[in-house]
Amino acid sequence: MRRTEPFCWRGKRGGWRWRVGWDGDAAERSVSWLDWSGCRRCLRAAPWCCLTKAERRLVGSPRHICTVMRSHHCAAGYGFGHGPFTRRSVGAVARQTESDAIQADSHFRRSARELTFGGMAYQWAHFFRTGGGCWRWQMSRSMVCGFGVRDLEPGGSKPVPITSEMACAMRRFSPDGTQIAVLQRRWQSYNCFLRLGSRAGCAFGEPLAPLRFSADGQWLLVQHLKSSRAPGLWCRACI
Amino acid sequence: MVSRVHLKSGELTDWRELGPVDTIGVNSITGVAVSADEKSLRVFLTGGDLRALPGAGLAVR
Repeated sequence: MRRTEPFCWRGKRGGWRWRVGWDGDAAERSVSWLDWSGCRRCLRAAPWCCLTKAERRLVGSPRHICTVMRSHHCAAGYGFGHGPFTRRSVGAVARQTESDAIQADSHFRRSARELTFGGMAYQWAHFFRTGGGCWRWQMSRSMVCGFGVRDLEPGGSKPVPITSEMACAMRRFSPDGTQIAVLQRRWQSYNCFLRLGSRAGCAFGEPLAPLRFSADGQWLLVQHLKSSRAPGLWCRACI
Repeated sequence: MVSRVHLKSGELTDWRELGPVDTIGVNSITGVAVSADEKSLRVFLTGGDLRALPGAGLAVR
């Protein structure tokens, strides 16, 4: 079964823990989220830092993560063994992740008021913020029922609710305020219509960061993160 | 690479290809900002000190 909802919860010592890719959906995409999870310089936070050891084992080889991410990070200006990927600074990253989530949540609540989207986005964000629970889960699901993003895959239709996670990474609102383009922490891009019941949206197989909507709201400029991030790694290899 | 996406059809077309003339030492393009008239771009790079070298300009194709 393919998990469609991003899932996160509070860690024991604060911060957020994100469950990602454990059911094999990373392998279904053309680009594994791990390859492009970015460092703190590239994206606000690196979610794999918040994974447990068991989850890390499930999503991939730790050696690969360390090699790629640490060399990338050293190149970004941190010394070897320093930066957010050391053991000591994992807590700092977790706090940053949490502050990102809270910031996105407050942003979303503000947006919800402005766009008369009601308390639904807030309810959903609240579910993630509080760590969730059965009754909250069911309530949130029912409240966002009918609102989702449809895949462009032929015959595929999977609703993806707007969550604080989606609003965290990169987001752009259309000029008329009816659409939002987001890049999830799991490096999936979505375009959503902020109107209940409207079934539309785009889901792309590669990480595309939304840059700007056109004035008429028909087009969206996006940045290919894959080609933007990769040259650095290749350059280092050449040197 | 910056592309345009048609939101109804999902059509993805290339718009601009951005990058430094000399990619050696450039770690990544961390951000792109586009002006409202889509005629001006601002590109954020990370790449140590190599950006300061003469001739290390930005190419827009």
